[in-house]
Amino acid sequence: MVTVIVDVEGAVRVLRDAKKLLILVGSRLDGDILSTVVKLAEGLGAKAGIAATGNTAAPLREMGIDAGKEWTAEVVSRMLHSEGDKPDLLVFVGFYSFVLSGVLSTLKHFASCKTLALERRRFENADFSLSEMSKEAWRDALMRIAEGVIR
Amino acid sequence: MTFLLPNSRNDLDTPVATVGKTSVRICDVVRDVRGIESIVKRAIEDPDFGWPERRLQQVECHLHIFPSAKELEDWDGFLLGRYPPVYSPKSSRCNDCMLGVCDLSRERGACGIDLKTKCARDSLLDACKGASQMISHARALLNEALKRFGRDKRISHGKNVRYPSINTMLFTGTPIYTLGDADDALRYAEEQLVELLAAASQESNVIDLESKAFHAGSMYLLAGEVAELVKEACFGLCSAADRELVELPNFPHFIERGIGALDLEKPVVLFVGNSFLVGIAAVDFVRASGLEDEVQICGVGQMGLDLGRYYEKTKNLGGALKVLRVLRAGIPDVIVVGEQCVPANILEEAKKTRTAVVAVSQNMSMGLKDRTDAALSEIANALISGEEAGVLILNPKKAAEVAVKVARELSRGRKKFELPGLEAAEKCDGCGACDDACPNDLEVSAAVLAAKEGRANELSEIYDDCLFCAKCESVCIARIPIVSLVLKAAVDKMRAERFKMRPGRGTPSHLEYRDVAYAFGFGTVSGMVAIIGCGAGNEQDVGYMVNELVDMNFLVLTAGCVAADIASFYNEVEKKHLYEAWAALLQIRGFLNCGSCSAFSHVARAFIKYNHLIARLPLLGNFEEHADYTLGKMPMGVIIWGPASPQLYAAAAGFARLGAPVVLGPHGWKFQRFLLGNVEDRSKWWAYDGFTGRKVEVDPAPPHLIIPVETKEEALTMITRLVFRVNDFRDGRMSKMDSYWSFYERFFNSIPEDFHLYVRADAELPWTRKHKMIRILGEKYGWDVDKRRGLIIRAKHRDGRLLTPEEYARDYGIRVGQYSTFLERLIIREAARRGELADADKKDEEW
Amino acid sequence: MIRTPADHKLPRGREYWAPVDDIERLFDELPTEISPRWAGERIPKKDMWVELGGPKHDYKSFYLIEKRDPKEIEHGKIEIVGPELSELEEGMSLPFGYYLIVGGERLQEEHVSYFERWAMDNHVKQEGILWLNTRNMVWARIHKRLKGRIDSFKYLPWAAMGMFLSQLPTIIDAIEAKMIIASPEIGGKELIAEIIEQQCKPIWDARDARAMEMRDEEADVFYGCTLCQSFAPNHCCVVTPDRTPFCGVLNWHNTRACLDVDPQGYCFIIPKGECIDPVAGRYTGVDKAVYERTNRTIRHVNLYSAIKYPMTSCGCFEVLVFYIPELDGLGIVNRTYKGLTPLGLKFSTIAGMCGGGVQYHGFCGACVLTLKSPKFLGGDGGWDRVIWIPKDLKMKIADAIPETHFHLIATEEDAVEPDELKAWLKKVGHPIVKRFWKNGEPTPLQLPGPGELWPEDKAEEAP
Repeated sequence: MVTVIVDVEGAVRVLRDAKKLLILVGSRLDGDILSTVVKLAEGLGAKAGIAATGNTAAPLREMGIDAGKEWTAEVVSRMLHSEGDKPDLLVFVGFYSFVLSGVLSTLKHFASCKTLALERRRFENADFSLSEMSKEAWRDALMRIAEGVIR
Repeated sequence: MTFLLPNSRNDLDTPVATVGKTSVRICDVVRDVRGIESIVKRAIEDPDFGWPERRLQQVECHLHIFPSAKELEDWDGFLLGRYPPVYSPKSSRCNDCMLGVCDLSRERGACGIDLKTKCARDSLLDACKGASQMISHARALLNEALKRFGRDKRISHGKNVRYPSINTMLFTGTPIYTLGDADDALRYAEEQLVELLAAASQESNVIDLESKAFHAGSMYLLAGEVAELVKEACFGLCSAADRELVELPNFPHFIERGIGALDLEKPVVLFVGNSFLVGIAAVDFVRASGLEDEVQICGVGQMGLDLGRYYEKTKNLGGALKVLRVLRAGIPDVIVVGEQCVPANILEEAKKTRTAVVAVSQNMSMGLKDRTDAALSEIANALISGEEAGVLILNPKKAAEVAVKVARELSRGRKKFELPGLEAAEKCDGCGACDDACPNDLEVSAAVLAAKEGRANELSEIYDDCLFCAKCESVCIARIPIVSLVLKAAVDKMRAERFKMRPGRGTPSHLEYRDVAYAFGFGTVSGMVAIIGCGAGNEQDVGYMVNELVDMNFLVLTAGCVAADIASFYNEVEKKHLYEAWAALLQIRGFLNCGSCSAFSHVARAFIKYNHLIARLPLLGNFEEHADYTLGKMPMGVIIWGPASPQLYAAAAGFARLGAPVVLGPHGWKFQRFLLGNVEDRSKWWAYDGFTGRKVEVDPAPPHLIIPVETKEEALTMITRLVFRVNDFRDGRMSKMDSYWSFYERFFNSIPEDFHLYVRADAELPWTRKHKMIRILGEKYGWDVDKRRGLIIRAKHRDGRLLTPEEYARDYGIRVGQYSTFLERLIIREAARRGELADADKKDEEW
Repeated sequence: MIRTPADHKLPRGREYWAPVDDIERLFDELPTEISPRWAGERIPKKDMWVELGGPKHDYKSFYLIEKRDPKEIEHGKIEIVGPELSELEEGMSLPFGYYLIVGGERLQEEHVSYFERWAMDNHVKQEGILWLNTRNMVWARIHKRLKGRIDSFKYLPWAAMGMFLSQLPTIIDAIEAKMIIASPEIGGKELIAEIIEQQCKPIWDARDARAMEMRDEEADVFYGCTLCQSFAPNHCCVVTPDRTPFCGVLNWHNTRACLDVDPQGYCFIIPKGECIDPVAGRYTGVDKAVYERTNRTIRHVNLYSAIKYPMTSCGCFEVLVFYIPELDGLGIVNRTYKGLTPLGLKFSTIAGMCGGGVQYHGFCGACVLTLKSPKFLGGDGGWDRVIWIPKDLKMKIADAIPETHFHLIATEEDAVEPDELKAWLKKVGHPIVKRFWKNGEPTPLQLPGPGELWPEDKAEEAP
């Protein structure tokens, strides 16, 4: 279970291949990057949901997106416990690295879903992760991923 | 350890404990009565803390006196079944034994262990580390006190404390009235710690391991209580216990916090870590020598609070975590270094600014020579001349005098804020290694690059969030002194830091409980919340949360390093800093600081006390019953903010076991173990109707026991959710619902998705939101409602049935005001004995 | 249309309409919050925008709540006579009058007395409003930080209407309000005083008389309350017109209203059944209900006795009545009395013994109001049996003690020790000496243990 480091194309492939996915919007996201993530979710269509963690439900609502407020720990816990229709891919973007490392560790070791970290650094416990990059490069990469999923 | 149980159950001569006309055989109420006969007898008969006769008749009395973790498994098992541990291990590798390094991510290790068990063992170890630090702290103080005053020295609890040493009594069955009692109690904790540590490398069941981690948490709080009692009774720390209610809003005195409060021309002695006895001795020496206006006694962390309770002129220089901020700026002339919460490289750092180091703990001797027996002047000269960078002195009085003397010499002509100019940033090529290294995810490289271009502003912003760990410096290939640059950019800010704070008052007093009990019981107060921790990157966070909670009518307490952070928060409405804005009371619109981390025990005491005040639950050897009551009825909660030490891990376990759920700030993800409830699994949410003994499906309250969040707004919202209780009164549920909804709307611009789970009747919906809630219940959750009038016609049970309000009250939740419990033995006996009442439906039909 | 006796002198007020048919909208349009957390908000003089009523106007202001036929009520109408809030300068203080008229098919006169206190609470919980007292003692302040957020006094009745309709949907069908802000041009405090005398006083006096004079015999049913069982299992309060619960939170009228609002709450109806003993207050319905509600542990309750089958006590009682065996008499002690009682025990110790929902013969909690009932301790001989009360409490309840007995009841200043107390009682000639003692010597009763039956009832206990 080695982390696969993906580039933009790789990330797009992972996103396309997923049957049902949940994009967790981390507490650090705002402004244009948040819009990009919304665009990404829209591009993926009905199979993708947005979970607004941290305080992001408020800015999302201002953008007209009615994403339910979610607590990261509860999403993680749901992946461990409940039966039924669960996403096969969790996508993370905009998290504190010390939060995400923990989240990914739990999911890697105790849940069956795949994980994709769309952050600007590499996350060892993710199944798929982007690698280190500057903020500008990251912004650009996210934009290209959002465009990429629409094909 | 195994005991053979005495065959005393058939022994008719066995002693009995009698209350009024009711007697119980003492061998029946504990597992093994040998050696503790008199304690057990008193635990039941004691008129103040023992068993009221009716309670003895009503429930099965079973005491846990000097219990091991296993003896409390009824309770721990219930908690861990409802809130099972979720782990996020930092690594899946195990190298705990000689069989090799094993990767547990896919298979069991060579010893047979699996990853979850390994995580649970680590959890127990972390809790033991925390407990050991507090026990060791308490032991050092207690031993000194025993030497000075002897075992028979009476410990006064103060006239306004009706319940002494609650944390201890619940486990030992004996209140602490003398130093000897304290010694017995602490010895119990020490024995437990050894056993727990032994189990940490053997026990193989996750629940058992976590139960033991809980136990380490309880021992932590117990030891904290011993430490506090000794500090107050033997070493003169101020306590609210003897004060009248009129004095309390302004008690204790203010001390000043921040570098701006110092006269940098005068000598500065800084106490770091736990150097309590030396600190006290230094203050005594300064006072006796008339040096109060010359030598400035300062503390970071615990010492900033404890010394402040002893000496009004103490300057608090913030949390222990950020000691480097002060040290790098060259503020202290001498640092006195004790154990706990001290950076491992403090000696190196001190050398950089030629700050003399006086180490005073064997547990943190840093390779320094033990100069305890050398002549005072000889030691001082070695330090003054720079011949020795630091010394170890294990005699508090001598250490204190050396520190003061050396500071007076060194301060002459010594420059403060000798920091590199921004040109030191020139070597930066923006590699970003510092960004990756930063444990607080700060954008360090951008700030350094800005400095390279001559802008200091970005660095100054880093100052506001920096943890001052200097990890960025150690990874920097260009060897840029980043922390010093940050400080340089923020010199003006540092100089301006000057706030008033109350250093800690020890226990809440009985007078406050009495005054607020009614509001607390009947609901104008949403709950009691303690914010504790080691301090966050951004100091403003904790103050913000305190302010919001006070504003929401929570009773708010604090203790630990965050108490110093709070001082800098400015309340815009009151136009004052927080300690000046609110009365120092455990009352609505007040908030109080109990003291340093040993004062977490005062917080726990504040939580438990209401159970006795309101329900008269016996206090001796009766931990389980209190935890059961707190989780079922009393709205207590804890927020732990900022990167935490193992002590906080232990504290969190102790509070959680007590039925007071814990919210962890974002750094809490490093805890690696959480106790999360699964709201969707209806089988987990039940309680016993205390009268019928019937297991009833209840609202998932509180939904979690230890949960991490990402933002302060989330922490506030989560804590309002975690103070929900199945046994809420109407008004209480109403104000909690109101607070929860109002935070949710404000911070997330949304409506809580789970609010319907907490609606038991229309009469307890917050008035101003009632019609909205009822409309949503109808539209979104399929309830049958009268929208116009705001009435629930038929409620939708979680099983899908639509029920009349009467049926719903019977089948969902505990009927308001009725007694409930999670432990079978605490079901009221008359009911348990009477078969006819087990069928509660029949009873309900009659009404 | 709300009429006042001074209508001929008053100008027409400004008329507003609250959206009473859509409460969600009503609260959405209310610019300030209402929540328990605003209760007790203090507004010092320096922070106030406007003050209404209070001592500055010799308490010549009023808040009148009255029940009318819903047909006479213009539902949702608010009339403000006199200057509006936006026209007043900062720091202004004026007397005022405030009418809140309610009507409803199920609304009863009993509800209204309950509303008086409760309606005050509504304003107490309003953000930026300081609200003290009821009726003619009413006193309010509006915080200056509300400037820019509200411009009219209408938001006071607006909020009150919302609260009434939100909390009492089954009882209130129509509500109307009127405020008179009595600036000098309008007529000042003299005008308000005139209205109080002519209109309010007669209503209040009648209401008080009704509440005080109602006796248990006149009640159709009694009520029970088990609010406190979660901390005092087996405790069951019986609420009757003569027996207000110890906590003083509710009285019989309030309980009636409470049950209407919250049928699944703490309160329930107790059918009276047959009255077996009118002096001690034994009713078959009460016995039956208490037996069931106390988990079938308590078989009998004498409503007016502390000695035999007293009501259980939760722990919140204002005063405690206790039997002094050596003197065969009763003492009464209150929470604030710190000294010893003739039992040799302090209040807190006795409270610990008999609180928590146990029937402790010889001990009974009570609230101060209960002491004023003529039936008080009827089963034990009434005031003839009361021999000791701490001085503070005695002064506080002076009007409840029959004049003939007032000087015959000892306080801690006269005696505490039973022997001294005995001598003192003989000296002053307390009625207990003749009525209960034999040849000047008390004969102590043998009280059964807590929860036990008296000897004559023992047969009942057999399964």
